[in-house]
Amino acid sequence: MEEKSAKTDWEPRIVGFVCNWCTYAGADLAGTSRLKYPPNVRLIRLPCTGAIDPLFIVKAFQSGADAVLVSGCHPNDCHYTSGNYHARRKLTVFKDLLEFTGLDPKRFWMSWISASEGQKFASFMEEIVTETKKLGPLKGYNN
Amino acid sequence: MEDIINIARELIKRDDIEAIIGYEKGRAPFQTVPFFARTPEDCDKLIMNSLCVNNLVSYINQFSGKVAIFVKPCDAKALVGLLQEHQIEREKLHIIGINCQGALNPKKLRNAIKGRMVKDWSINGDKIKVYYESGEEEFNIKDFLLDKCPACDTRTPPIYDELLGDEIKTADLPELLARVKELEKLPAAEKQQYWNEHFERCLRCYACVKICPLCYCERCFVENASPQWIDKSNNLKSNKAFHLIRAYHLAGRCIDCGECDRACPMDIPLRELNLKMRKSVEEHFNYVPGKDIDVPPPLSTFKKEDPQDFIR
Ligand code: SF4
Ligand code: SF4
Ligand code: SF4
Ligand code: FES
Repeated sequence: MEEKSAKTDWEPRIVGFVCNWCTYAGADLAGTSRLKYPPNVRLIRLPCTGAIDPLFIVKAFQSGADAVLVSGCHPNDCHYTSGNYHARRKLTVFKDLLEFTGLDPKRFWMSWISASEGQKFASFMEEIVTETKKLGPLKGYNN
Repeated sequence: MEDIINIARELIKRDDIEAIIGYEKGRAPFQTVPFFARTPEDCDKLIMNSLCVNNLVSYINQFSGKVAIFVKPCDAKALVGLLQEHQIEREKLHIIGINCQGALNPKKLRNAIKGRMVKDWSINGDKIKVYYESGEEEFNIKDFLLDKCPACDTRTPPIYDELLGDEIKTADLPELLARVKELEKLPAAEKQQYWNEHFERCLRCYACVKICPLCYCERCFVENASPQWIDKSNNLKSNKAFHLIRAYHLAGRCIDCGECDRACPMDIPLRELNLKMRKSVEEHFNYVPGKDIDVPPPLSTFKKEDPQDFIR
């Protein structure tokens, strides 16, 4: 019973690693267009998804993130030409490893969201928060 | 096997070869140790048999000149990896490849002799003979193989200058990824429990890193102080981060020589993580490490049409 009431107060923490040129701009657009999305998401802006080291993701989980998102420019649109293609390969494999070691697949998300897709950003954040709420707090990373 | 001592003696007489990287008998029972022969007399100590377990490839860069090196097929795959990544030069190697019937696990043998004093041992074909203070006993090599060997499908090195030993025919190999597939079927919570229990036991002695022929970074991420990714203390949190990143750094590169597994004093099943990465890279990018020097490692390249089913 106690656990249940704890769950109702609990708000998930989501960390989003986003590239400066597309998804960060998309999030900005969502904000300036006054689209509603949950405040649980903390964005960390990087120059490009190609600069995202899987260590960042582990660190986010260790530091209390309940789910992590990586998001950048659509294929062909990366500001640095191919950063997103490299990120896609690396994170495809790393996601497999996270799942193999017991992370629920719904705790790691990746998307392509452009500067003009404020709506996509807002609804995707909504979805991630809803899914994470179903899972409850992440265990097994930060103790 | 051909007379490796004479082969080595001929090689070391050559002006261009600085040393021969091979094995000699160690002091402990069933132990062989890496040995560098620099003179014809040194060569007399060289041995090559199923107890020559170490992957010697990591020693190459200790020499500035050309070296000859004995390699099993799995060791030769590590050579392929290092050549792909431009860590060694092909011209500076004379590769003596060995056809391989499998390597023995010294730990398993030591268990089998039940604490008796071993005076000596010798290997003949597929048998190992153990001489005790009194009496002797013979074991079948195939009953004492390292875990990596039964499913190994490469019994001839992918790369060599000369090849020794009879061709090995293998049939009905067990499936290499059977264990990985079994683990994949567990529910997420059980997977996490399984791995956290193993990670918790890790001493972070880094023997697995030190021994890996493909972990050649001068400064491993674990040593970084700013940012410090992994704290120095030994706890699940840091151990887990270490293991995730170690396995990831070897994704598409680990050639399953199993040395990390063998070196681990805590019997942490590192091969299971390595093989998961192997499976992942093969499934998504149709790539198997240790085969082709001219193909770039899968995580240093990409294709526009790479799969992206999970990306939204
Ligand atoms: S893995 Fe293959 S090549 Fe390596 S020792 Fe075992 S059987 Fe020989
Ligand atoms: S050798 Fe084993 S105990 Fe040592 S760091 Fe590697 S996994 Fe941990
Ligand atoms: S990770 Fe282990 S099995 Fe793979 S190459 Fe390194 S030592 Fe060999
Ligand atoms: S700049 Fe957006 S993914 Fe490379």
